[in-house]
Amino acid sequence: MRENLLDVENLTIKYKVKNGNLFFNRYREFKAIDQVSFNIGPSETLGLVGESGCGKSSLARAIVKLVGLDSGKVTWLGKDWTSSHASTDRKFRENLQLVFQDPLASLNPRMTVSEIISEPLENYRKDLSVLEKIELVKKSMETVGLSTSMINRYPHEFSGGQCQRIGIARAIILKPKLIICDEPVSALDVSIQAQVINLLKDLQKRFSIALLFISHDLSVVKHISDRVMVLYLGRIMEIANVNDLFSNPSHPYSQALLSAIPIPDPIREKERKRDNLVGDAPSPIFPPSGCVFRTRCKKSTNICSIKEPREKIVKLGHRVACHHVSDEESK
Amino acid sequence: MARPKDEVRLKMDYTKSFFPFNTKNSKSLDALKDIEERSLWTSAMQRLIQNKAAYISALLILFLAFVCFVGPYFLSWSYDEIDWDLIEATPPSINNGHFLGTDSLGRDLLARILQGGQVSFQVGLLATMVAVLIGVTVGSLAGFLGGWVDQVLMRIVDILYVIPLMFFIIILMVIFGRNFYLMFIAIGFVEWLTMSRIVRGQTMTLRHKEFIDSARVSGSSNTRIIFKHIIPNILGVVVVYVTLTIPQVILLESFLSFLGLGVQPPMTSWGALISEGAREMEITPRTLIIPALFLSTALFCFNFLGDGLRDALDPRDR
Repeated sequence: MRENLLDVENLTIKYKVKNGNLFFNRYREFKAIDQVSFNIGPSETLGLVGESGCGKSSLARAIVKLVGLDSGKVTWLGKDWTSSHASTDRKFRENLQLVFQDPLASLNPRMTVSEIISEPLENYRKDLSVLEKIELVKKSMETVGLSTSMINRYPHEFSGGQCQRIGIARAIILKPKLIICDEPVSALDVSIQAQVINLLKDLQKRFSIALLFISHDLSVVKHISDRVMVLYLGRIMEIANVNDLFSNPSHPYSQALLSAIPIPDPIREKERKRDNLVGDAPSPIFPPSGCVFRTRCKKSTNICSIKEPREKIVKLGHRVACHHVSDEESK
Repeated sequence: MARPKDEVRLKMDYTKSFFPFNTKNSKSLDALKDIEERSLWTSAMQRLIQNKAAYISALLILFLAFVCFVGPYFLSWSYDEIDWDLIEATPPSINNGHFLGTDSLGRDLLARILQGGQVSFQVGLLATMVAVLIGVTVGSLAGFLGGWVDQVLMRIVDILYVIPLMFFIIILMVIFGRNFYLMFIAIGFVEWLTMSRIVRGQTMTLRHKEFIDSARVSGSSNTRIIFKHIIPNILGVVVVYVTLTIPQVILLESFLSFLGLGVQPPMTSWGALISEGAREMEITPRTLIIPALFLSTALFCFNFLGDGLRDALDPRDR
């Protein structure tokens, strides 16, 4: 059995919201991420989809320790990362990079492109001379399709797509084993999105990097992922191979999501059956009892409001958290 | 200068970037030189020179400082020498060597202005520097680390804020006696408080920016983040505050001198000269106007320079 790069077990992140008056501070805790478990193998792409506010970014940030986690365990390259100290964090991070959502905001406006891209080198490869670093920066820029003549420019002189390429160049310069992409294309034009996604796909093949690809765009996720994880209010609803999920979604939420994908064919698009979700996602501060999805679920019954569904294995590597699933499968 | 060439190169490279995986490595070592030249400060210098007002101001400040520190050696009168023949304020004349006339005690006004300039420049720059160093360090630490560090540092600032300046100065005088250098301590003591508050506020807004997160993911330590990411981004605000502080400090110094801390007659400073001149402005307006001209020229220049520096330090402003 191959060894997983990243194992996440029962990860829970709690946030505090202020809930008091002028004189007394009271805090109310809520779970942004609740008991999430998954793993990522070498050079595999795990897609992570969910509505806004469901905890996708919190999950990504918890994995790279930008946000503290409250319980659970993150194992990175076979070593427990949750209990490690700040000094060992740095070693771990060398193989784990993050690409951010907002391309421009993730680049320091006072730094030139070469300074930005070489920042990981400054921290991890102190043995390199200035010339060697610049050579690496240039190589990395060429890899992501940036002209090396732009090496002295500042981030504001670039377009959004180019900025994202700079972010990717910074992420790949240390040849990491896993890159977490936190909605890397949501701030970009559709045409640029395609370029950046294909770039990521190519990089993955060339350097056999694993990706955790976060997005709320299902077609993008379908295009890039090997496996897909569906998140709702901080809980995993379904996790499956990309083909299984898109051809045979088991969870009502995944079914609703998939039915919302438009078909680029006007005739078929008219006939497309949509089962629209009603209303907004409930507030994670006051989650519904039992199954969190029951307030918007078509199949919701009594048991859904009483008991939280256990994750059921539909197939090897296909897990679903729904009371109604195993019944359907056994028929 | 190399602009048009750059444009051509850029266009060519743009077409290349449509074929993203061009593995042919175009090694050009001459490009390496550009990189070293374009650090934050050097590129800021380039932009500053392009700003005419700021550049001229900088030169004028340097010129004034040079004249103040070197000029006295070429005058026939020293600042504390009384010309007994001209014991009352006399108008300027080339014949007797008093190019700007004498003050009411018969001392050469030009010599006194130059001497006063030395003091004012020292106080203005050094005390401000002290205030900036302490203020930026404390403010960025408090803003960046947050939590109890922030609480402790800001409460210290609060406590220092409420100590009245007069009281503090009197205590200093009681303990150390009259001393020119105590003035730096007293002024720095007052000025860094506001600085630290401003820097703390700026740092707190920066702390949650994504590029700080991305620096951390790239493995940067807290020290590196503060010095490489936070401070360069707050320099604009700091520089503007510095240009507001320098005139404040120069005027504060004349107040301190009046209280007996700081410079004592016959030693002088621009602030002291102006307050002396103000007392006699009905008789000899010259003793007020000329030092005031020097002071306001210097302050104007500092303000233009500060404005220019703020723009120059921000690469987005071109």
